[in-house]
Amino acid sequence: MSEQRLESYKCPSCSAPLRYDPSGKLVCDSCGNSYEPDVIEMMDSYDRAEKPFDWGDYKRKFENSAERLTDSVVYVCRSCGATVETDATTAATHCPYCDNEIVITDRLDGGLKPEGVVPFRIDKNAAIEAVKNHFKGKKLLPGNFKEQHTLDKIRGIYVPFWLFDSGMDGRMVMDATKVRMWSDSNYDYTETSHYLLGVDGSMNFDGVPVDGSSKMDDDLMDALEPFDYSDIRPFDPVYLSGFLADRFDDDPDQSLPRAETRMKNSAEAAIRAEAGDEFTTVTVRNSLMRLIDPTVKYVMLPVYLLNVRYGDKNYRFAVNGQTGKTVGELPISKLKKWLYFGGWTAVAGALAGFIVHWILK
Amino acid sequence: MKKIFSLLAAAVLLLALALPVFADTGHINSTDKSDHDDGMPYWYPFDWSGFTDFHGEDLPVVVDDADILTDEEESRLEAKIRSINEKYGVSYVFFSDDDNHGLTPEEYSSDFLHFNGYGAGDGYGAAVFYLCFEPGNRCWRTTVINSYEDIFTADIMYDIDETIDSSIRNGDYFEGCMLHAGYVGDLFDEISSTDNWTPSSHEYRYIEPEKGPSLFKVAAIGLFAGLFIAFIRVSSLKKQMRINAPAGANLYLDRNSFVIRNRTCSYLYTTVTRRAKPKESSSSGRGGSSYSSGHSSGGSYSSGGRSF
Repeated sequence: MSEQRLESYKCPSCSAPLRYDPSGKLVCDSCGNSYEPDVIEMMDSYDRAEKPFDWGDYKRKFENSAERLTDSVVYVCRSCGATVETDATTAATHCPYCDNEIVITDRLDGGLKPEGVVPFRIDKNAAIEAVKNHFKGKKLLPGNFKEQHTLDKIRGIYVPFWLFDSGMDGRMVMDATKVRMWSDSNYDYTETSHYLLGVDGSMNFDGVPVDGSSKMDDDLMDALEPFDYSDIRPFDPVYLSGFLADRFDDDPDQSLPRAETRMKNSAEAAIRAEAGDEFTTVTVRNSLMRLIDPTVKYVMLPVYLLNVRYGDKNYRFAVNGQTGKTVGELPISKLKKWLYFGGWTAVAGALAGFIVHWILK
Repeated sequence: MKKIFSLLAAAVLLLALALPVFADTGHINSTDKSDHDDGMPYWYPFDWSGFTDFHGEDLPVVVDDADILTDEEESRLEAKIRSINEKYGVSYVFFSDDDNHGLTPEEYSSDFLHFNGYGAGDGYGAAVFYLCFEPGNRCWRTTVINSYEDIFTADIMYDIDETIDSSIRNGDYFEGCMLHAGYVGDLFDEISSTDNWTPSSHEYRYIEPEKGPSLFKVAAIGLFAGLFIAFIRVSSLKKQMRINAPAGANLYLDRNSFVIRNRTCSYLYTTVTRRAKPKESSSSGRGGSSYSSGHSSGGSYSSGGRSF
């Protein structure tokens, strides 16, 4: 690698120039990372030109074309600040996020109309049954937990989601080994051949959802997937009847990194799996992934929410309003946890001791 | 005249009675030491169908058919073995040969005991230290039959082998025989002086006897296993209580769009490591094997030993 060529190498992490270190590595003085020269050479030939997603363009286009929900009634929660709306025929008394009282306000405009909506496919009773089923079989659930809540308080809410479509293009540099073993009369031999792999790949992702509500737990919404997008309808206020609708307060710029991380994880796994078929081990050294032409859609997805106060913590449960899938963290009874731990230790320990005694005697 | 006829008749009768003795070759005390026509050794019975164990009389305790010991060595070894047999009321013999006559060393030495009536007590227990000098099959065997099979366990056989190994391999067969006899004598001495003797109470010279797992060891392993399984189980129960969000976006990946555009593979280097295989301790391994029937005498035996 010539000195002249060296000068043109950029840090894969921060794009600052790299310098050659006597240790044999290329060092970035800007971010402190160091790299093997062969890896950098392999990475350097990759066209990493970013094509940043311009939310501004989308926002302008979307805001100009999208209508506002003019006939909706807007409620504001004085406790958590949530702003939800519904139609004039639906009365709302409690905030779906914190369960405190919400009040009607006429000072706010209706929210932007989403491009689409997935209507609720299960009713409140089915959602209550789904929550009950979620509690079933949970051996560490405190005995009095079920008495602490009223399932009737479950509310259906349309949660604002951004659905990202995007290509994903990337290069991965991986260490790979092939291992061959054989024996003669005196020795067992292991031959390990080392390779450096460089793989370029691309793929498309369709409709990666990220909720646009800052009050909604992202993990809760991710765990609620999947939604059947074939059921997406053009938005009509009639779908709001009997349900609340949240407004987005995380725009696509804020939501995209979450979608991008998920897409990168899947893309890396797919490329790695494809590249490593013939090798014994494959270890990723470096990975460069970039989004290609991301686009976004604003949709409302149906979710039932139930908040349960137990101890000094609020437990939130969500039911997919389309499939009935229920998620939510459950409290753990310390007493039950230690009883189970002790019981399993005793039973498994006695069994293991009996087996060990039987084997060794 | 009458006297002469009487003497002649007596002489004929004595001769007639003496003939089978002179012609007797199916016994260890046979005067004719040549093999049978069918190739079996002189001490083999001609017909062993329906054979049952019996107590032989005036049996030799040193049968050196391979002729590896000097007369003086034979005398000293015989004295030692006879003192053991008499003191403890046991049946122990040294035997060597340079031909197994188509049998395995175990079968051949077992037949030696069974067919010649070696055995002590109601259990007909007997032990032979057999040195085999058959070309290509040189080995030693400690073979025991009947009630001695419960005494000479695999561990004790191994202990005996370790005791005599270097002497035999160095060609000092007499020393090996004396060490063998010494070990056997000590063993019977231990048995006679110990109440409720069992092989596990034997004082081994070269190996730690397997006395079964200690309670502490079993409890410790059980506790660790129990804690590990309990930890796994409770962790699994706790996982049910959490939200398990997907890390990737596999649900939204269009598999048909997935393309590998470019793939390079650079060979870097190769390393070769080697690890020595564990060595076998001997050709016959530790301890003996139990067999029953399938060979000439059909009697059961246990045997242990090594090649040299």
